[in-house]
Amino acid sequence: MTQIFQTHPLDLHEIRARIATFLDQRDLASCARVCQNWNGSFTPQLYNSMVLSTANVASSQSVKKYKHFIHHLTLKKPFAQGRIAWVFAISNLTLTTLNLPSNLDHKGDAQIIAAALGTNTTLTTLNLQSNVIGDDGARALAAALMTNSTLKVLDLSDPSQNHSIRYHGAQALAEALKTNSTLTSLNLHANKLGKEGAQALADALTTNSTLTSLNLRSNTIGGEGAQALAGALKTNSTLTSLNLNSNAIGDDGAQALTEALEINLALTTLDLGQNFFKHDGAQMFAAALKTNSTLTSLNLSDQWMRTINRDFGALALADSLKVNSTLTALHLGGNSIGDDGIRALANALKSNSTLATLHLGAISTHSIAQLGVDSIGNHGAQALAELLTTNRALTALYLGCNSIGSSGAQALAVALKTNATLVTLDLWNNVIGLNGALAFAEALKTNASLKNLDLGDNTIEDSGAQAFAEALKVNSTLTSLGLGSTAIGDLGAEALAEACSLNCTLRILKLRRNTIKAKGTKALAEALKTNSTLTIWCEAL
Amino acid sequence: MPVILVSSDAQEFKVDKEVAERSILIKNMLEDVGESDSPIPLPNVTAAVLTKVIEYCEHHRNDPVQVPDETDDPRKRSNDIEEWDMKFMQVDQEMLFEIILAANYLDIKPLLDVGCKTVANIIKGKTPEEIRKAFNIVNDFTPEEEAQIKKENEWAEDR
Repeated sequence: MTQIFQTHPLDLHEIRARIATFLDQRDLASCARVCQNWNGSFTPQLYNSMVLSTANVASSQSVKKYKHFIHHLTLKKPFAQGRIAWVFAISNLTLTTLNLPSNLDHKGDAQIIAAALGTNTTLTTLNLQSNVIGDDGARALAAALMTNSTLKVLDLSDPSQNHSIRYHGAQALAEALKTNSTLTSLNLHANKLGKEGAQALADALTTNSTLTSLNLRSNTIGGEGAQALAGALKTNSTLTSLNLNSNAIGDDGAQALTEALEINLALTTLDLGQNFFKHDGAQMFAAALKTNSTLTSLNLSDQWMRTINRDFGALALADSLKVNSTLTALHLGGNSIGDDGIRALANALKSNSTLATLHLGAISTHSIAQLGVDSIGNHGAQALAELLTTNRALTALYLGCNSIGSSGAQALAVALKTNATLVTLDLWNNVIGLNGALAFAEALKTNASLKNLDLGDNTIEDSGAQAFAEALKVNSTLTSLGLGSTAIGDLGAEALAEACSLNCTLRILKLRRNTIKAKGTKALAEALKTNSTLTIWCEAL
Repeated sequence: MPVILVSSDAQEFKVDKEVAERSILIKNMLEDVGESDSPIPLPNVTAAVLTKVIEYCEHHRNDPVQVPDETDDPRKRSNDIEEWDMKFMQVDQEMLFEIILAANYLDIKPLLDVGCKTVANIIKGKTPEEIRKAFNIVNDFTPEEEAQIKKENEWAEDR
């Protein structure tokens, strides 16, 4: 029976438009060139999300022409004509996301955006990271926030310290937060708010009930700024995430914050890394963790506690972990906690079934420069290994830049044969040596839970690499292996290359800063041709 | 209780109500007529295609009802077709398009999506000319028009 109307689904716009949602930019651009009808169906999806990594007159013209289709616009880096593009886009009422990192090159640009924002009713995310904002820009944006009722996420962080927002800008933003009831996330990382800026924002937090995330990292708010914010946290019941990393808060600030934690029932994530807490500070947090049952993530890294008593803080915190059953992530890296402290923590975690992420590695080069490596040695590693045989909660353990040595590494590797929970293990710079490496390669043959293993900055050499190559032939769980700076040469690289053409789970292989020459590089490049899901980090590739 | 579906070429198919109701069109029809055992005619679907569609609905009879995508991710993935669906879709292009049309007409969103993902996978990596060849489409652009579109959309090519 022949049908009278032979419809082809590709003749239907709605079908083409649905297919479009499953294609990426490059394929959408090809589809838009097929024929007139296809152009009409695929162009809207192509322009829905525009990411410009280079820009010229043509792409700016395209933004202008198709602005009614654009929902998300990202200008990856500053370029001539970029300004024209975003000025067109922001005047438009379909845009929901605008990412303009390092893109505002004129002093009045922030004001132009602010003026548009005042009447805009579609934009929900505005990223102005690393731009010339300053107090004037912040004031203009704050004025816009008084009338705007759609923006949810505002990023004014300034990691490149171009033109910081100071007290006056902070004050204006604080005033805006008193009336605005839409903004949920405000990022002011690396500006220069100071204690007065923090005080103004704290004042706003006593009335604002919408903001859930506030990032004030690196703003020199000091003890007094922290005290003001702590005061606000006693009444605020909306803020769930507060970042006060690197603010020279000190023990006075710690005291105020821990008092707030005893009352506050909203805060789940608190970053207080690099704040000069001494042993009193650590003990205060330990006490707070015994009563607080809201906080899930706490960062107390890099407090330079060594000068006082490096294990004192750890012992107090270990005591709290025995009773706390809410915390899932604890960052204590860069505190030079030694074996005694680690033993206490490991012991406490035997009865804790909540903590999933434990960070005990040095993170910043800053703290390494200050203190040298952290001080977990063989005994600490043995205690952690023992813990891993019974603990079923830990999924990530970071021990980078300690000195667990070969025996410590072997103990951890043996534990991995029975542990089926740990997903991430970081052991970079731990003098694990060839024997440590061989033990991990052996463990990888049977372990089926570990996805990320980093052994960078250990002397593993070609024979270690060969052992990992053998392991990769049978392991089908590991997705990331870090072997950067491990003295691997051509032989090791060739073995790994061969394994990579057989293994189809590994996504990232880190091999930077090794002694791989032309031969090894060639083998790795060949492996990449057959394995399309793998990325190898290596200078020559 | 079974439901009787009648294809365009007058073949009758007896299927469980739960299976038939994977089609929103049939579900609404059944709700409209209430309790009735009269056959449901599907004049746009041939027996061959209906057989495939019923096979799909049988396999997915217990799937949870698809909720509209809440996340504002503009780019959905086409490489997440589950294995059974992938095998199910290993048919010639004519049948693939018949299934898409039927899924569209019968309003079976998950099947329509699997069909569209399969077409998307055929499109991936092809040049406009290769796409035209693959689907037998006539280029109705003037060379100037096509050059203009290529220039406008050039930003999408570089990463």
